[in-house]
Amino acid sequence: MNIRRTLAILLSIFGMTLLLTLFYLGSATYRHYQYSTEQIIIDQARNDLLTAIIGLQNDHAQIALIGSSATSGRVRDDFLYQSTDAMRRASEALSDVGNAKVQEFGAAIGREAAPLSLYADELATVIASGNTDAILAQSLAAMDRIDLVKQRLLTIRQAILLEVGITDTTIGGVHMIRSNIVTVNDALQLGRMLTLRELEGGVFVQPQTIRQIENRSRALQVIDRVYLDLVSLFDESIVGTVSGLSDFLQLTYLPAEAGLVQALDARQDVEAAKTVWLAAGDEAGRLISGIQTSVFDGSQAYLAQQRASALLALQILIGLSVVILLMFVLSLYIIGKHIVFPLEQMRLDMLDLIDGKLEQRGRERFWLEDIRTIFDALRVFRVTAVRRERLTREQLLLHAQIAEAHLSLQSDMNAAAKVQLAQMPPPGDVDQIRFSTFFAPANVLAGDTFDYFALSEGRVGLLQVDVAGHGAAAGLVSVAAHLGSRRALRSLKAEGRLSDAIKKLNAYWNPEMTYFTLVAVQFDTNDGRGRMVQAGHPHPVLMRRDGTIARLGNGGLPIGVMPDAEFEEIDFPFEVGDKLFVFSDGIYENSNENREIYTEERFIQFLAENAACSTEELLHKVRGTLDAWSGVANLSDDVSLVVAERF
Amino acid sequence: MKFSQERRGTVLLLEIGEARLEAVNAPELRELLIGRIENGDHQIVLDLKLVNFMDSSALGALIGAIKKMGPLGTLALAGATGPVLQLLKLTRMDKVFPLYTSAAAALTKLEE
Repeated sequence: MNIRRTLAILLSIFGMTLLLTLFYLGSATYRHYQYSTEQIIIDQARNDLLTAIIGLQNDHAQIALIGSSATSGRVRDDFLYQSTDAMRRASEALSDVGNAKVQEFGAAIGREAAPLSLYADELATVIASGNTDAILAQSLAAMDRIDLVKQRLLTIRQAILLEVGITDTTIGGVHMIRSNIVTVNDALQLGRMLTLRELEGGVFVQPQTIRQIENRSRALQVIDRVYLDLVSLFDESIVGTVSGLSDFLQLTYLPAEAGLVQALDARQDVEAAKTVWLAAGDEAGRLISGIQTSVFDGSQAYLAQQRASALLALQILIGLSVVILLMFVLSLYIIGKHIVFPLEQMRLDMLDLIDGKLEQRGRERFWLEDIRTIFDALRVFRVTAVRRERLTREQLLLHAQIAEAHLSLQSDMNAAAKVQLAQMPPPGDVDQIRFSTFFAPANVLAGDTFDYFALSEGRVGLLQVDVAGHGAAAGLVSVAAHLGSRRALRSLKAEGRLSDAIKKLNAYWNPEMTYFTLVAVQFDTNDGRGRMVQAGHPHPVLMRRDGTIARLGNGGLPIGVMPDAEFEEIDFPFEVGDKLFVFSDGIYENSNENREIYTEERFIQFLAENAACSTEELLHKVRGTLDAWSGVANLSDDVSLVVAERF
Repeated sequence: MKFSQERRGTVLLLEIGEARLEAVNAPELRELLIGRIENGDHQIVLDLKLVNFMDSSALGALIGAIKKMGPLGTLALAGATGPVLQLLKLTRMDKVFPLYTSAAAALTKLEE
């Protein structure tokens, strides 16, 4: 699980939740809007239904009067059309509504409208024929039918109310006002019809009939009061003008009816009162129609307002949704561009750094401070890595240079060592003396050196030098000491003293140079003797022909320590079969693994024990002994041994 | 290189704490002695009683020091035994350095 995937999952969940919420809110708001729209249609249908019912009531009252004197002149021939048209409109409107039951009501209304329409045509045809008997017969049948249809429409109206329900108190009020209009209209029309019928009897009207008229008048008054109380319960903005009907009934129609009753009672001015009463009745019908229109306009306006606010809510919600979704997409973009992308970049950069790919990637500018900081740190890491790499490269280069220099130095040293080795003569005979050597330098260049050579008049010179230390400096001093010593020996006359030659060598030795130890020997083969000067060098060992061993010399100052040093010259016998061992301290100062040195005593002991051996064998044993003590490869000092043997 | 030092009046007593004086520590010995001499110590006793081996490089350091000291100062060697004494005798260092059997003997002599 990484940051990118976590962010993606979280944002997806968030986005889905957001979409679900918006969808839920949107669909609820849309349903509300659709409902408001349907409410308008249903209200129109209700109004049409009301129009139809009132029309039927009015037509019923009118048809009832056909043939009576009240309808003198031409009989109307457009009965029922207004109602069937209204029913058809209601039916069509309701079939457009989404609710299946409401559609069914629309269809039911339509089923009532179709035959009624045919019946209206029939009625019109009969009326047009002018056949009075037929008209009367048809009108009686028509009233029955109208009552039936009116009853069905009222039932459907009730059913619609039950199905759709009362959405709010305003619409509830509208509905009740409409119901009361039906009641008022019914009472008014029925009253008018009955009263007109009763007036048919002539000028004289029975007192009980007058009382009946009075009773109906009172009943209308009561209905009107209920209606007025009801109207005052609801918002006047919708039903502002409906109280006008009540005023008219109270102030005009009912007094006119009372006037008619009075005229009938007094049997005076009956026609005039009747005319006033009829006019008031017509006016009341117009008022009812006007109220119906007014209530319808009010309810339509109210519902339109409802629908408008639902639409506004829907629009606001859609707008908000768009804004929210845009914000969400913007957030996604920002998170992607400024967090996820840099993180991915960072991951790749780090992988590159781990892989050692140090070339610069594209330099983006990062917007978030934290990301910038991390990238700066990464940059520092990279710079450090680059620097380290360069350093390593330089070190490697330096190493190569050092190695080269070392190699060159090594070859110089090897060349110098060759020169140094060339100074030392190979084993061999000089006059009647056989020289055998063992030489093991601790380094390429040695501090030890030796030489032997023939001098004039049967004399042979031998020298051995040991410069303290080893390596290049000791090697160079060694060569200088070698040359100086050889010159001293070579310049020695037969009658000259060896010690004087060495004293001179010492006196002239540059005090800036390292001191060295020296053994210088001059053999005289003529008289079988040797002379030796020991300058700080180990005591040479003389092995006589009979195997006896003698350590020669009493020591002496090394060359280069005191310029005015004196040296002792030691005279010794050197006859056929005698051997002289001259060696540097390296031969007995080697340490074994216990840091114990071999010691001069042990070496002399070794020589004594091997006195019977040939020189060749002895040298072989020396090597073996050194090896056994410390290992020739581990020598800390140069080892040199020269054996001079008189033959 | 291990050593201890003690000042007795004008005499500086240096006791070497190493068993071996050889090529590996000869430069340090040289540095020690030259340093003291350059600091103005002209009477130095070097106690070698703990040293049981000395090679020519260490001897070179001693010779370097005595050359630095010059004719007016004293660099005395004390307590040399065994191979060390052998080397000193072989190279006749008694002609170069005053040799004493012990540091006490050297101090007594020098404080006179």
